[in-house]
Amino acid sequence: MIRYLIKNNIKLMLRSGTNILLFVITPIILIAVLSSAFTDLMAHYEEDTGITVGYEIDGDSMTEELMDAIKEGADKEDFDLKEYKGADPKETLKKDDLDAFIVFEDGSYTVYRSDENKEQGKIAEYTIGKIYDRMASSMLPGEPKSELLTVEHPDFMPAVDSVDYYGIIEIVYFGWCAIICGAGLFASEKKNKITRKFKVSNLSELQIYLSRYIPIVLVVFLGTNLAALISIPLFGVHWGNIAISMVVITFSVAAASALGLMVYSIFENMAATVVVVFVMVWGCGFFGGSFETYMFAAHSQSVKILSPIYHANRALVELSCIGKSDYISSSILYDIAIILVCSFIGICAGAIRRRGGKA
Amino acid sequence: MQTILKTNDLTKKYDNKVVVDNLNIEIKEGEIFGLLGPNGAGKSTTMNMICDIVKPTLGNVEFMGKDFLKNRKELIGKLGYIPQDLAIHGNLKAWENVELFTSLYGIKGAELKKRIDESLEYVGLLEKKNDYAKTFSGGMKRRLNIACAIGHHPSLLIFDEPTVGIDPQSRNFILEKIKESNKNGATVIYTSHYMEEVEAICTRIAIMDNGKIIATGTGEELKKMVKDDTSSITLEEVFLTMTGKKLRDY
Ligand SMILES: Nc1ncnc2c1ncn2[C@@H]1O[C@H](COP(=O)(O)OP(=O)(O)OP(=O)(O)O)[C@@H](O)[C@H]1O
Ligand SMILES: [Mg+2]
Repeated sequence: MIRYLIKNNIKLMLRSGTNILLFVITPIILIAVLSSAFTDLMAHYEEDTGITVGYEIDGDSMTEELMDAIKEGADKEDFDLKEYKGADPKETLKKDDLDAFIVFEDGSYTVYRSDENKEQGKIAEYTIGKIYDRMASSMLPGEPKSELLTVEHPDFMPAVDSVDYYGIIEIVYFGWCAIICGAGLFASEKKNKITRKFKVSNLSELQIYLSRYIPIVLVVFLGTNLAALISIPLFGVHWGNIAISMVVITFSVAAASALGLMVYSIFENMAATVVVVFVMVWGCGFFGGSFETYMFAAHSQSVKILSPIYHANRALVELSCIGKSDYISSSILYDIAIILVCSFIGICAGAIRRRGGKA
Repeated sequence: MQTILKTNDLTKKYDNKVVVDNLNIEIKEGEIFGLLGPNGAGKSTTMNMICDIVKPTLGNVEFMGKDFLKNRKELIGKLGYIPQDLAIHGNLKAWENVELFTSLYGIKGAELKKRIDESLEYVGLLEKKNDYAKTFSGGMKRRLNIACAIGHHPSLLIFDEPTVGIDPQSRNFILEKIKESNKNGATVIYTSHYMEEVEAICTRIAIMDNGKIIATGTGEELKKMVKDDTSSITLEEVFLTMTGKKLRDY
């Protein structure tokens, strides 16, 4: 029954021109500006200080081949390795001003990071981890590495290219401003008192909601995913796994649309909606790494995880640089929760408003 | 003739201002019922209550022999409401506007296509079906507004001042169409403050002022209430005699 309503609402949104371009063009421009502006900064994080890593081999856990590979890898990544015997990892870290200290044990390794040089420590840990994984799997081809070695991955963040980072992050951020796309539709509905006429029909509040929600999700879905695809040839953004990335982006967009539509249902006023949504999204972006890269931001983890943008950003960035992420599911679950809660509130707000006799 | 619509003590208060005051009207099937009244008399509010757009403070509406609100789901599709304020999307083409509103009544597919063309043809806009509503003149917009409310073949058509701000040709066209719909079986409620229009098409007229019906009857009957010699008085004079000459839209 609302098929035609949805179709026409999509037309209204697409015909209000500029705000659709906004979704493809603006992120592209921002990626270009931000990534170049931050290239130096990111490079600073990546290479800057000669990283020094101490290591110790416990027992005869290391093959020569593995050790050689690690040395070679460390050489390539431009950091020094120092071998220790019988040293206390924590004390040595401090005493010798190391960035990280690694103890290789049977089938696993432990990384100690210095408190002072956190980032270098993380980078060292990430690099060693990658070499270790690669070697472990090449030694016994075909076998999953986890059976060969238990590699502990503490909470580390790999270094990421600034183009990749900002390419990914801006698209997510713009997806969260989804409600703007509905501006043309809402303005026309309001000006022409369309919902008044909906009352002279059996259209339910849920249907009115869906007739707005579905078009917004669809249009923003197309806009953001198109921007994601364009970012590949234009900037060479690596998405890691573009299909999974698109799923994450799509849930993000669906949650963003529900949030925006909830705010609009409460105010029925686009200007108020834009202000409220932008403040909320800016807050989530601020703590979620949309402006300052989240790995280097000073906010505590417990604040970061409150931001749905953080989950999406992290899922996508990790997909980009390590090809997997624990944040994919948390991001999607968080989005689903937002969709359910915001839709419920949005529908109730609309019902209350319309029952009050105002259309 | 059977009663199609009846209001029982229909009342609407905004804050403490009574806008519609204990209204009791009865409309028979096949009538063109004219509701005449100065600005702010409460005509639109009454129509909005009949269509369940505005909730009455008191009273109820019976439609086709049933309590309207209690049987809303079943009855709403039998109403065709042409609002005083144009309810059309400027950024949709004429046919898309008609499609949007006609589809609300569960009409789809080939039948919907047929109804769209039929409605547009009816208001003389079939040739303009692919034009955006925003490019239309005032008269064309009024006609499109009507087309959007008739596609589901309602039995009761409610026109709230469908002829404001349009030229005599368009007005004449719309009046003819209303008569035609009526001949085809629809009952019509028509609100206006143009005397000639109401006199020309309505079978019965009610004069409303300050939320109350002050007189009901045919044009002739209303004239008789004021003067015995009905040939020397116009409906406008009746209207002014009954409602006074004071400006209303205060
Ligand atoms: N939502 C509202 N809140 C407060 N007052 C209202 C509201 N809607 C209408 N009114 C008042 O109710 C009165 C009747 O309005 P209504 O629109 O029904 O008059 P009308 O007879 O249709 O007039 P017109 O010929 O100008 O269309 C007016 O005085 C108007 O100011
Ligand atoms: Mg009115």
